[in-house]
Amino acid sequence: MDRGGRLSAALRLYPFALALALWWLLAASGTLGNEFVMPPPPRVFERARELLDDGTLGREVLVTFSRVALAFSLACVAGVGLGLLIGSVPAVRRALRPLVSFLFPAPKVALYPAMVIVFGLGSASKVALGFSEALFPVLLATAAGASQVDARLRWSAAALGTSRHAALVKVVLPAALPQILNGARIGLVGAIVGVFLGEMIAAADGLGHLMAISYRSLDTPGLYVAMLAVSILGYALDRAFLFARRRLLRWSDEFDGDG
Amino acid sequence: MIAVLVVLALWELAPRLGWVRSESVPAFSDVVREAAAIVTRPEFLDQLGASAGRWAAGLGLAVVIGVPLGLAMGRSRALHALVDPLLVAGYPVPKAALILVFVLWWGAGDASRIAVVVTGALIPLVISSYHGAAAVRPALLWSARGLGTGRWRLWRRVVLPAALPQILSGVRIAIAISIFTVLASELLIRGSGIGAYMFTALDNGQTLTVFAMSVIVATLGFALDVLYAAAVRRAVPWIEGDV
Repeated sequence: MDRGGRLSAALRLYPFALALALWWLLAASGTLGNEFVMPPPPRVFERARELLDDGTLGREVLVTFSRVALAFSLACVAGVGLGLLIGSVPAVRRALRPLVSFLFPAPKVALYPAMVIVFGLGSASKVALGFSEALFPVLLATAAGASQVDARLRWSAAALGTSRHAALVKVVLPAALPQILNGARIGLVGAIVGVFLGEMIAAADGLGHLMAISYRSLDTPGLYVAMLAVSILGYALDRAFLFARRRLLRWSDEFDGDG
Repeated sequence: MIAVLVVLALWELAPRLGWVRSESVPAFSDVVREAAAIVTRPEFLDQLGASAGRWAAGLGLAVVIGVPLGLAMGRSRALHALVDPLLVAGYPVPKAALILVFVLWWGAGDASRIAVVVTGALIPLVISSYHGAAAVRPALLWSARGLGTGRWRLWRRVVLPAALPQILSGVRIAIAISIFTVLASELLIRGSGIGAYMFTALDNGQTLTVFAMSVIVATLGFALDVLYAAAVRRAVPWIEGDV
């Protein structure tokens, strides 16, 4: 790693050091309240250790992670599929446009109580909320990307005998990939936020449930453990996504190398 | 409009024909009738007012903090290097969940609820303002400086107008996120507000009210978005492309 790389790695990690220092200071000074409302880091780490040892934390992380993975994969499949059609088939665009522009700005969490009624209190309603948060960023980015594909690429493919159907997958999809992946990064965070909030509002397991139950049972260190765990999970998934994106876009000249 | 009509027709027919139980999914016309009844109730309007006040205060504060910060990041490499990692680290955190932490610190009143809206709306505002300011063409700055424009005027007359389209589309995203955050925080910590109103209906098993509230809130979110886009088009007619 060269000097610039090491510097940027250090910069990437400094927010965590800053947060830890600030947290320690606030806990020690009691600005925000006593040890109950603002437990010092060692107290929270100790609680994290307990929750790890009795298997709770690992289990809840796994539950949340698998819900996020399912919601995000479903959103990618539906979003990319519909987005490609909307972006390259005018009839589909005309048919779906009003529905998309109505649902996109609507706060999906407002639909959550209805999702609980329809899908029940189990995993399905959390996956549904994560999915609906993740879908639109992917769908809109794909549609935008697909509609901006250089027409000459399509003409060349058609001239070389590629069917319209195959061109969608072999020409439009790769050409729109940089934009799709930008949308998918936003969608991934949407899936995490949706699943976690769904678990907090009404669930029997998952990290969100751990946070809500810690709050209700006055286990404040446990609450901070859950909040930290979901933040770390989100950060790790976001980083992993950026890494995968860099690999997928190695061929692309518009890739600017950031992240 | 075809897709909308198909969805609505399905929603109307499925419960009527017994494909789904009408206790879990009420027919669309019933939901609309209930929604029309709810929006005229004074207690609903009180809750709406409570939510709207927090939303506006939080969003306003986020704009006042986020836009100048983002613009300054766009013009200063050092500031960008300092703040950007914070944004990257804070980006995947479910901000609405912080309501539980804020309630511990500041109680269940408006301060915590406004704070959570600010944290939710801040990042998109900073990022879009940053991109706007970073993309100002250097030639514009050189010419302005060459003509003797002072530092403050340079910001007001060159950087801000050039970055405005990006800032305004950042505000559009922030509007959607902040509505989401207000609702989610009210669903998590009851008390007053639209989210609490909705959840009380869920607890009481009033399925029709829950669906009607979902329709009302979704329509409000959509209406705000459309109004905002139209207002921007009128106020800033020189913006090209989408808002």
